Amino acid sequence: MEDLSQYLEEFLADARERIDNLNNAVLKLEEIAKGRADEGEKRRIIDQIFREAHTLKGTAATMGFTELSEVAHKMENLFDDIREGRIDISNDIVDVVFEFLDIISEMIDDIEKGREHKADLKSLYEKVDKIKEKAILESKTKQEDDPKEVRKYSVKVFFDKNNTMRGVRAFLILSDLEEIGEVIETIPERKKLEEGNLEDDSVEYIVLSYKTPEEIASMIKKHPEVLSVKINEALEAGVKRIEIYLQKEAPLKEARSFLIMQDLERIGEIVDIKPKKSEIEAGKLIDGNKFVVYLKTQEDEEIIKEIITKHPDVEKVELEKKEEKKQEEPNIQKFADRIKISKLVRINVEHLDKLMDLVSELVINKGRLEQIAESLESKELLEALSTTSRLMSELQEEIMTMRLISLSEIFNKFPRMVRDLSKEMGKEVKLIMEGQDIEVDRAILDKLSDILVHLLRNAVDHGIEPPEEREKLGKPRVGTIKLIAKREKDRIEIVVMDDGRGIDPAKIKEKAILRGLLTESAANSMSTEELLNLIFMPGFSTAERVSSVSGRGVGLDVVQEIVKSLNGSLSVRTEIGKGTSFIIRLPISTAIIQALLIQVVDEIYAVPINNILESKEIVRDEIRTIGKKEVIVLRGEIIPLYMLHKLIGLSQNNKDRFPAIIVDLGSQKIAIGVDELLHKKDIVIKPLGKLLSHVSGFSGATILGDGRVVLIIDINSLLEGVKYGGV
Amino acid sequence: MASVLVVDDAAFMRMLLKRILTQAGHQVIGEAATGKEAIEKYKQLKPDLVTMDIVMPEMDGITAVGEIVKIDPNAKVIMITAVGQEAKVMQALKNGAKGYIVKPFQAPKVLEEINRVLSG
Repeated sequence: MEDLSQYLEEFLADARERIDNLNNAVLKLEEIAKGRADEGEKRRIIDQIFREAHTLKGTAATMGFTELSEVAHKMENLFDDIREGRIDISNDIVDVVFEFLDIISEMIDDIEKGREHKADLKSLYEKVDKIKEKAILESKTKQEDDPKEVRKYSVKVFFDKNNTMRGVRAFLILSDLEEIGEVIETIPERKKLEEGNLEDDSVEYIVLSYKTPEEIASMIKKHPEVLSVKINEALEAGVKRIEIYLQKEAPLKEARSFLIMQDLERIGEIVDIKPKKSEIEAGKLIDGNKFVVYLKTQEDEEIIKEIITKHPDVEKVELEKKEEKKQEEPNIQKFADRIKISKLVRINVEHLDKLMDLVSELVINKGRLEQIAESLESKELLEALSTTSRLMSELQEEIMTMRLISLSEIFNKFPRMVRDLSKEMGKEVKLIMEGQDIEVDRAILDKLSDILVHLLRNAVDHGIEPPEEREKLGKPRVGTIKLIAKREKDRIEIVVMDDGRGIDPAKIKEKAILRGLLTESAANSMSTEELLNLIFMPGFSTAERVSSVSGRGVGLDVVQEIVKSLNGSLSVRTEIGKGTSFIIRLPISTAIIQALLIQVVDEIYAVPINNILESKEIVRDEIRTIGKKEVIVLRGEIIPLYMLHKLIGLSQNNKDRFPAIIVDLGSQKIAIGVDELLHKKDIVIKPLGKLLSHVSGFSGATILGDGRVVLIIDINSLLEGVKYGGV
Repeated sequence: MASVLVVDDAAFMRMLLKRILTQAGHQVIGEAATGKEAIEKYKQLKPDLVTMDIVMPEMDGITAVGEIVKIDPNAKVIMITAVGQEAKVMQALKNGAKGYIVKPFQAPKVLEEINRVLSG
């Protein structure tokens, strides 16, 4: 067998995607179990689950993961039963299917890590068997009519090669076929059909249906532009479909058929015969003179033909086969096709990181070259550099785009998670998601996942009230959590919003004092917003009750930490009894950011533009003092003012007028006074290295064109000390 | 070239078959008019091939095929039948007959079937 390990990554990614799809489909199925969807929708979802499980089974088998394939197969079978109406969807089934998905998920993780899998498949299978037995018992008492036989067909439709709309027609036929059964494969690939693309003049659909070939053919022939339709039963590996035509006038066709079959049995295994054996023996052939044998054999086509045509009365023999080799290839081919057709290539993210690093180095070097060119006053060099510069920004942009991944990668996991959590907590929750299509940098996505998991957990655990309590409050029984992503230029805003009980600032104050995080007097002097921000303090939200839900003792401080590390901001809005929203603002990419260069005394610093709301010229006389704090008034709003000099330990500036930047600290605005605002610039973030990593207030450094190293200010940690009433 | 035992209760039929077979180079080494006789002759002559009529006195062809196959599992017996005897042919085939020829005889078809069975 061919070495398939090179397809492993592709396989794993594909399998995970399928599991996400399955999880979401099963969630919908659960709705159906509650009777919230119509029949068509139900059918569609069941078909989808069947299809996903079926494909997973096939790909796993191709890759040699027998156990995984077997689990998927069991699941496929279960859905086949559901599809055929032998089993009704019940909560038992939904639960057991989720168990299936979890086990498959684990198995995939194990495969990736090269571990042996030790899942308890036996107990899962037993559960399935019990469900089946129960269902069969129930259905037996219900009705006795046998369901129609579902057969697997290869439906080949030929179009006029000159018809440019044939791709669209092929897609319409695909939809038609889905109405009457299950299209499990198409050649060319489904994706292509969905794009209305068809290079060839024919399409093959592999269809599972209880309709007869004639019914299927007549349905397809209703489409204009269809030249012809050829329907055969789809074959398993190594099985040949042999159509034997006897002479119309030949006597005793049943005896001839019998003898031919006897001969064929000698060279292989007859998997199926059409018509049924008993019918053939009674002389009832198809169209009076034809029968079909499905023979599993290694023999050559020629030999088979010879054996049959040796018989008198044989008019002709038609053979169709599916070679074993070809049967194995399609799955691999599918991966290859997908890469080719969707123009998609999976690359290890490390390569992209490396590429990004290289471009960053280039950006720095370009800066140096520009300075040299300027000092040399070489017009030619400057011109060449300007072109280089443009190309480099394009390159940089291209790489950034390459690193972008759709939020749906992580969002897809949430419906299932929220469902499980709410079930565990005895809550009823509806999750509404928006903006899954927005793309962000891979590095951000990874971390974002952790943050959102935490915030969603919080929302279910602490936000949404139990259904009874909600009813008493006159709220709908089912709580709503919204997860909404919005894109604003090079930033995204993600909101996790619940319609639960909200956060009471008074309780926060109580708790903070109780925990010794604040003195009572300090707490009393704090504004509501400042109080709210306490929930992001280390040691505050590490809940005393470590439930399995919010558990792990990870607090909002950790969430805050992660958001900061991504140069983003986290804020909270809440209203008692109405609900809470956590708002995350993040740059779309992290490696290269826009920054404002500022000067304090003779030092230059960079402040990420993301953090800055606006800049303002401040006149010393306008500074007021409230308590012991300096504040400015901006459009009627009182904003605390801090001088950057003081924050980073430089000598105070005493100018009458000086610029300040207004920054957003979550729910609070703060003005930071500096000496001079220089200009905006794309900067490459370089980590500070171990020696300096403990220095708070800076998130990294960047190198300017002239080689000067500039520290990047991390507003949040810089203001750490002052936020809660210090300094 | 094969040695053949021709079994039929009608002498005319035996003669017709004999002619077809002989002309094709086969050798008819024996004839029988009943099933019982066929079994005896088979044991005695060990022919390469038997053509067996279905409807015969004493013992019909269907039973005789079964008996012959019991004696020699590799026995090559071809049934002689007429249209309307479908069920009986099927029965004979199930009893171990390897082929059949339909009356009235068409020489090419007869030989085709005989050659097929002999080669199989």
